[in-house]
Amino acid sequence: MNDENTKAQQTYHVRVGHARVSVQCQSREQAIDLARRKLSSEMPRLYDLIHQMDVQRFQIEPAT
Amino acid sequence: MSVAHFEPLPQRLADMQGEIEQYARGYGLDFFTTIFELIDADELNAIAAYGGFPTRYPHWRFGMEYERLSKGYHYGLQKIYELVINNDPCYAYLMKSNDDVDQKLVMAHVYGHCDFFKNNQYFAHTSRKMMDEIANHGNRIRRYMDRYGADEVEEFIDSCLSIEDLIDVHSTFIKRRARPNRYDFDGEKEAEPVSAGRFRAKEYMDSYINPPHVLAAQAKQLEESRKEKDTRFPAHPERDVMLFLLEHAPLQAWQADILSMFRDETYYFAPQAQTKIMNEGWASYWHSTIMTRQGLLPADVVNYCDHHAGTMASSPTQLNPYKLGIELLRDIEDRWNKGRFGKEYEECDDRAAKREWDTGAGLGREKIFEVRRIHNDLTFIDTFLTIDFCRQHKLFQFGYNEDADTYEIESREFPKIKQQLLYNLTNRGQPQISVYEANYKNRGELFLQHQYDGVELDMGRARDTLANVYRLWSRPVHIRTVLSDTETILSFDGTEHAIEQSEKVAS
Repeated sequence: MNDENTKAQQTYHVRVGHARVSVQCQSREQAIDLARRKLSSEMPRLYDLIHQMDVQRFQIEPAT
Repeated sequence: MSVAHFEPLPQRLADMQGEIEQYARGYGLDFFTTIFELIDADELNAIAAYGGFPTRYPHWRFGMEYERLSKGYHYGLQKIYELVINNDPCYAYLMKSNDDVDQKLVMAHVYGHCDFFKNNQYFAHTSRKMMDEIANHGNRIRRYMDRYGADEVEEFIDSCLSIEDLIDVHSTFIKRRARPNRYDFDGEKEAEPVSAGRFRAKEYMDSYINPPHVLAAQAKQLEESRKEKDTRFPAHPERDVMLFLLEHAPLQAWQADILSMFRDETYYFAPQAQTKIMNEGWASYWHSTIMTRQGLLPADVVNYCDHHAGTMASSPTQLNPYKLGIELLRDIEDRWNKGRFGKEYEECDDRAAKREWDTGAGLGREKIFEVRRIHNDLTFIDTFLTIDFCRQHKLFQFGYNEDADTYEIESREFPKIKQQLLYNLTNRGQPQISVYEANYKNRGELFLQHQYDGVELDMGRARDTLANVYRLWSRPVHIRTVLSDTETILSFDGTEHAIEQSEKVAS
């Protein structure tokens, strides 16, 4: 097992405009990927927009 | 019935068109140059009555259609939002009385249609200069009316129009018969003797595996069937009844010319009937996408939602092609975005896993563009209507209950619903009729055959059509249909109709 896999899972709140989702993962990059997937599942008609969106549009906060 | 005098679009609408066109191209839509004309409701109804073409031949049915549309509009029962013509350039009409948000919606919708016309394979054979051709047809028919009399030409047009659905829509893709070559003299050679197929067998088993009396009977049957083919004309049933009459009916030159014009027009319009659900679904998908993402101003949202919802409204008794088309396209996009296709997904029997299935494939947009290119309504429904979609959208099959004298839900079973939809779409919902024999009873009578593909023959219409076909063929005409093992032959000999029914089904 490498270091990545042994890292602890953390909850992140990811906000894009008015939409906000919470995801559990190990890094900010993973949080964005998971947030894209979650948001596009909730808003399937915006799939292409969500997947093309720049990473700067995602505001990520670790849950306290 | 007045036909419009066209003027350039006002600058405000021209700017709007430029904006919507840019959005449409940004999504990868590919269309011919599109020209919008601004007209009032009366002019729009007149053009719609002419099938979208402002210059056509004179005929009473256009006036009748105009009256229907006009009354519907003035009584507030219906309103034509958009009208677009498959042509290069594409022509589309905007109604003067519409709000700006409606004009934008119509423009976005029209660009969807224009992209579909240009890229869907079923439109590939259609003339892109039909605006000119149809105007030309109108001029030729007016000349014939001047020369031969309006009543005679109109009567002939009535006969032609009653058979305008009797074409072979697939003939543009399938070569059903070879064109006879005038230098091919093989046909004059003596036909080879017919021999029945023998199974391979060792010598001592041959008489057992290939009994001589069976072989002789088969050879006799083959010979008879070949003789029948040789003597029957046409050798194979001809689905393109219009073409058959054009080639073989005793028509004068002007009559043949009119029939050929109508046949060209029928083939031009046929793909629109074959792709109604897809075409409207595709245009609605794009107006919805463009308007909700870029086209709408905050003040327009309520009006847009109201009008979009009105277009998409489902009726309990009628299928709304806009609604079914857009929802099916969205479903396909979603499935292909999540990777919900292919062997692994189909064979997964874990319902929870299927519900959460998301491989992140992201192929949705690419897939719907592919679907738009290669499918027609029949293949679209057959390929993509799933049981989950049926459940989600509460589709059902309905039928007429004679006891209750009302239409009611007959079934919510997926196979029955799908089958009913496919029946409605086969041959554009029209009965499948072909020319079976043109020398019936060796008396030059025309024998038509109805093949049951889910659409029964309407006896009242069949009688009227037979009378019209008689006018073209000039000899008695018959049509055979078989339903529930009862064979019915309707005949018309120029003076009276006859009906013959028998229980035995002829081969």
